[in-house]
Amino acid sequence: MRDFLKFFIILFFGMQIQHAAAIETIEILGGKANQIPIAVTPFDEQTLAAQKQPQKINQIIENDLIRSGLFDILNTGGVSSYPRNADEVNYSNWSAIQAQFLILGQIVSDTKSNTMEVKWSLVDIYKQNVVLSLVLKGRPSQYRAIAHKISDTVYEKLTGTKGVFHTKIAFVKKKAKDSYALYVSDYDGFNQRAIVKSKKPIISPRWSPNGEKIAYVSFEKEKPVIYIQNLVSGQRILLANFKGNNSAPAWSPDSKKLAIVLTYSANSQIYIINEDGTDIKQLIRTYAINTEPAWAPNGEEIFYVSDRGGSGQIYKINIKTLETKRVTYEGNNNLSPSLSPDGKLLLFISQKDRKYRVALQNLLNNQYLTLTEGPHDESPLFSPNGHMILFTYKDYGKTSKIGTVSINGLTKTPINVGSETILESTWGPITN
Amino acid sequence: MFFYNQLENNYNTQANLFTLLIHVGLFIFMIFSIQWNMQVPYYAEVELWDTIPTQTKPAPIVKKPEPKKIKKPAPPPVIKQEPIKVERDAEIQLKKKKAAELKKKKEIEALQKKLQEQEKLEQLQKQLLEQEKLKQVQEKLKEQEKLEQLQKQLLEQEKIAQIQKELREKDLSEKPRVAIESNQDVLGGTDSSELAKYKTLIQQKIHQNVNKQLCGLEPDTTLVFKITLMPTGYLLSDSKMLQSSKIASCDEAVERAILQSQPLPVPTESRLFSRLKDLELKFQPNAIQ
Amino acid sequence: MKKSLLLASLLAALFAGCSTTEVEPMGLNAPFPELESKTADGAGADLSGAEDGAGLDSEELAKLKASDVLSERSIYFDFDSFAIKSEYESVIAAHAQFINEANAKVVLYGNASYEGSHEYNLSLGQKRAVAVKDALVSLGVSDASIETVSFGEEYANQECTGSACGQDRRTDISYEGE
Repeated sequence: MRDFLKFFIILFFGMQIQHAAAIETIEILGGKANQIPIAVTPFDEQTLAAQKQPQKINQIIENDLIRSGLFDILNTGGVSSYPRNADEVNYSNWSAIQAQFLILGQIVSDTKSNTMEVKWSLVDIYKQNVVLSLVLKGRPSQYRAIAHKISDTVYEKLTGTKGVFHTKIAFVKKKAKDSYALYVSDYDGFNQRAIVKSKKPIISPRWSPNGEKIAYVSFEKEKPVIYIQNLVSGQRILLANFKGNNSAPAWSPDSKKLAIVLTYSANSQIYIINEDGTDIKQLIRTYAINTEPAWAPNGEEIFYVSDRGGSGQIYKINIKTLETKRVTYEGNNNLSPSLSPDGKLLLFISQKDRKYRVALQNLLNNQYLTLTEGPHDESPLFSPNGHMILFTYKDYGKTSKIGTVSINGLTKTPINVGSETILESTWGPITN
Repeated sequence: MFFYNQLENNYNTQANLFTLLIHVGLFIFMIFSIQWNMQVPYYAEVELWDTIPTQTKPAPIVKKPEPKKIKKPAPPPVIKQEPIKVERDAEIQLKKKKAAELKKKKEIEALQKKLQEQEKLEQLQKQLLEQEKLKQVQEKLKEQEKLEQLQKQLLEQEKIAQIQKELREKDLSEKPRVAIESNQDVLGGTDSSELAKYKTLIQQKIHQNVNKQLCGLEPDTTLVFKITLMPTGYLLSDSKMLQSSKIASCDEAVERAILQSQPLPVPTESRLFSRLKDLELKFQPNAIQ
Repeated sequence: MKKSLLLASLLAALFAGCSTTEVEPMGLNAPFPELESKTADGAGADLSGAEDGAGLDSEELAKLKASDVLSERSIYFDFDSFAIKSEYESVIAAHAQFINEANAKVVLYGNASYEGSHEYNLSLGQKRAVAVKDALVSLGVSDASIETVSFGEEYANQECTGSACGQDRRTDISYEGE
């Protein structure tokens, strides 16, 4: 009987092993920085509002997706007919131009009620099905906002990350030697309006993570002082006017505190202060310059620049334990640190051979790479979803401009806000 | 079995029973194992019929149309030039008239002939076209039958291979004999370097399409997919995700990469193909290559 | 108080390597100063942290204008440097002498060229101002007569190229009451 059982058991397990060994395994390591091929056909719109717009909905969506660096926008010029809704899609037309996805839509406007209705769809050309079909309603003045909303929805669906095409940026324009202004605009530079005007320089604008306020450094008192301005009310408070310089405001992730730099008649040192100006505490004191603080998203560490090693390099300090560690070693000079929203990437300016370039360091494995060529790139900041970087750039002897570079380094796009010099910029948070 | 029954012996009866049970057991297990391994449902045959025209793109096997046997239209009647006779005017006129009428008649007849011939031509052409269509349909049918046969063959070969493997790996005190019915050659030694070559080709093609940007930064992000291929290199059905990366956009990007890579390079030789028909694909998009 | 003591001792441990036998001007081994918050809005320029010294009277002003060496108000620096070059030692000495004699108050404005970030240049300008201040102090000027302010690159020529940008790497001496 025992042999009997033994036989069956061996046979049974023998078969299991057989079954498992029958399938070959192939390991595929790594991948490519591919762009998703997508086409955006002109929407079917015969509205008066559309005619006044400098850009059509499909162009706004295309520009958004191009700027992100994750999409390859296909030219729809060669396609014979543009579908107005998902039922009219001729899949072979679109797979012929190698599209994987298609965005299409229709706009209907009602002049009496002054509304416009946009019906749009995202279609998967490969699987031949409709991924999304939605309706957006708004006033004609919200034409661009609706286009950005479509871009955001598509972006989130295909990449799993929230889109930032609805967000705002702020930047300082120098119009003349004695004319400076802080502007707020759409992230792509449209709809700009000034919120502060001054005869003296304004630098280091910083948008609070909760979106309510912007801190900035103003020279209107003949020396650098820090203001915090409420974006809704337009009211501002003087956050710091201590003896010496007051500069480099950096918001904590919960928008309740700021790290700032005071000189107090000596070299720059870093302090932490409440956002209402109370309770200032010194964090760092060394012989060297300590400046440009940037909070880690977990609120526990502050990254900053110090020249204690001879030239500016980036260090980090644990706010509670005060443990300090050097972070950057490449290049001659590393300045202007900021952190990605997930805290894994350090963004900064790296100088080599007197050229200043935007650089990234992976904090998990310390891999370092440069994203731009310079020669004078400055003030890099992440978009609120960490996929794009806003920065200012200038060529030798020319005016500074702002632009974005996608985090994969593939797409650099200027932001057109006029011909004046742009000093510095900041990015507002995701609000939907 | 029969001559054992003749001995009145308890031990023999036991052995008897034992042998019987073994045979039954083996039989059951044979069936069981076949059912167990039948991952590929027989209705694959039906799917073949439906998918061949759209998914697979076989080389068009349309024979060139046979050279059309077109009858040349009869040459127009030659009007002979008769020598000019001097005759009286009236007669000449009459004759002229008659000649003209004849001419006309002949022309009409010629036209009618032409028309008839054209009709014939068209009919011929129609017939030819229909014949061609029939031929195409017949050829398609043949192709499909061939493919079905291939599939059947492969499945049978697998069955046999399974049984043989099972038998080889048993460690028994008694070794009952099982008759193997097979009219096929037993699957012999594998050509492992050929297999490795195709695995590398498949790996390279899929790798080109993996968009790792959608997979975050963690170096040990891993995904596992299982796919089943047709001899054409296309997937038989949707790929199956056995291990997710925990990032939805990454899962979708890798699934898209697999779809985009069709048709995958697979060997045409049926024995080799059967080794690669079922594949487990393990992805680590953020691994440093 | 306990907290600042703790912080101080931690810092002391950190900088155990540095020689801190005396109380350094920066107070490296002293507790962090309790800063007096001056956040009242609408206040005028908060420049004169200097407690000592008064404004210049007319006689001293005339002397200031007449002197050649004292009309040299800018000390220039090399790229990314705050080291005072030997060629400026005599200028600094002259100003030190005058400040002491006239009991003057000075403001030192530090500047930088546009290369580098705005904030880092603000700090570099500050360091250049502090370097001149330290030089004056070492020549006997009282620390409290001197105020340091940095403009960083904000008044620099943003379109300069090459050596022309050297103009912006400087500290300017300015007398109160001028």
